[in-house]
Amino acid sequence: MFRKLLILALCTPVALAAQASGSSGAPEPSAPTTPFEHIVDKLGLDVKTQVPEAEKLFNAQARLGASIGVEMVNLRKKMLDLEFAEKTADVAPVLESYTAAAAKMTGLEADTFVKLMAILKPNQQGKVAKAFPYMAGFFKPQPPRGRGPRRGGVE
Amino acid sequence: MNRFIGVGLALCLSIGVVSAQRGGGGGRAPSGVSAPIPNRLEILTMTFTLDKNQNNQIKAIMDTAQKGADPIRQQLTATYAALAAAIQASKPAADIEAAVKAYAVQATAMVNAETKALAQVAKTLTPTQRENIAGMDTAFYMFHGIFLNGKWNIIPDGKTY
Repeated sequence: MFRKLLILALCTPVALAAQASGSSGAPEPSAPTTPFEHIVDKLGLDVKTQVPEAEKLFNAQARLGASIGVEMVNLRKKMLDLEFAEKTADVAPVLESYTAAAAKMTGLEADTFVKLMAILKPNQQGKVAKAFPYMAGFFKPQPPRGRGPRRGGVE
Repeated sequence: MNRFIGVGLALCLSIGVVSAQRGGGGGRAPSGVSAPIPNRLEILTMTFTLDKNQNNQIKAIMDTAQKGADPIRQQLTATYAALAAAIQASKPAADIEAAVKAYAVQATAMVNAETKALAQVAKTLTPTQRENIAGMDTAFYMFHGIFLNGKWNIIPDGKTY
């Protein structure tokens, strides 16, 4: 009897501590931080079956987006040079090129979700509009370390 | 203006701070208390060692530019939401393409607003300050998405478009 009480006494603080911290002892899922994690979270993708498929899709699409992203950065630099030099008449064609590049990039973001729809369950498909904002700028190249916003998300 | 397009090697203090904020690791004092995060104007001030007059000029430029960019910001959000709705409703490809183009037009308008503002800001700098290639590079990347949250001076939590 004494042994049982001793075990109970020793275990109780552990159980209470776990409750106080909101933990059952099992690792808790962390809050989404990256745009991809937000998309997974918003859609409620199954970690074992759907996330690997989604990762594969996003990686393939990212390869297509890399060159478009570089083109967009270069066009912004060109715009800046022209603006600084006050050659405003020359900016219009650059803006036109930028619109074309932005359409390619946005088209890729849309295409990614159109393809993603195929692996979603009907109830997940109804959540697409809430997840899609995290795609904005998803495939743009990351700025050099610390020089701009992290990609993903126009809400 | 080639200095705009050069990729700087040195990382200045401001970059480290912005990086810490982005990554969520660092940016904290050893005691665990969050270090104050500089706003964008403070970053520019530190990066280029701006004097008070330049500081005021830049603030005025950016406040005006923010007002001009606000309607674009709203359109940017609205057109992306329309695209999301089209995808969710499995609309025909032509409809999705039209929504993509509508968004691209707004994205271009926003980039144009950012670029004009940055060019104006650059003009307030002295030639010596503009020779700070790493600083100019920092400003170039910092200005992308600068008007997205409606408050240009506050660093948002990683939104872009």
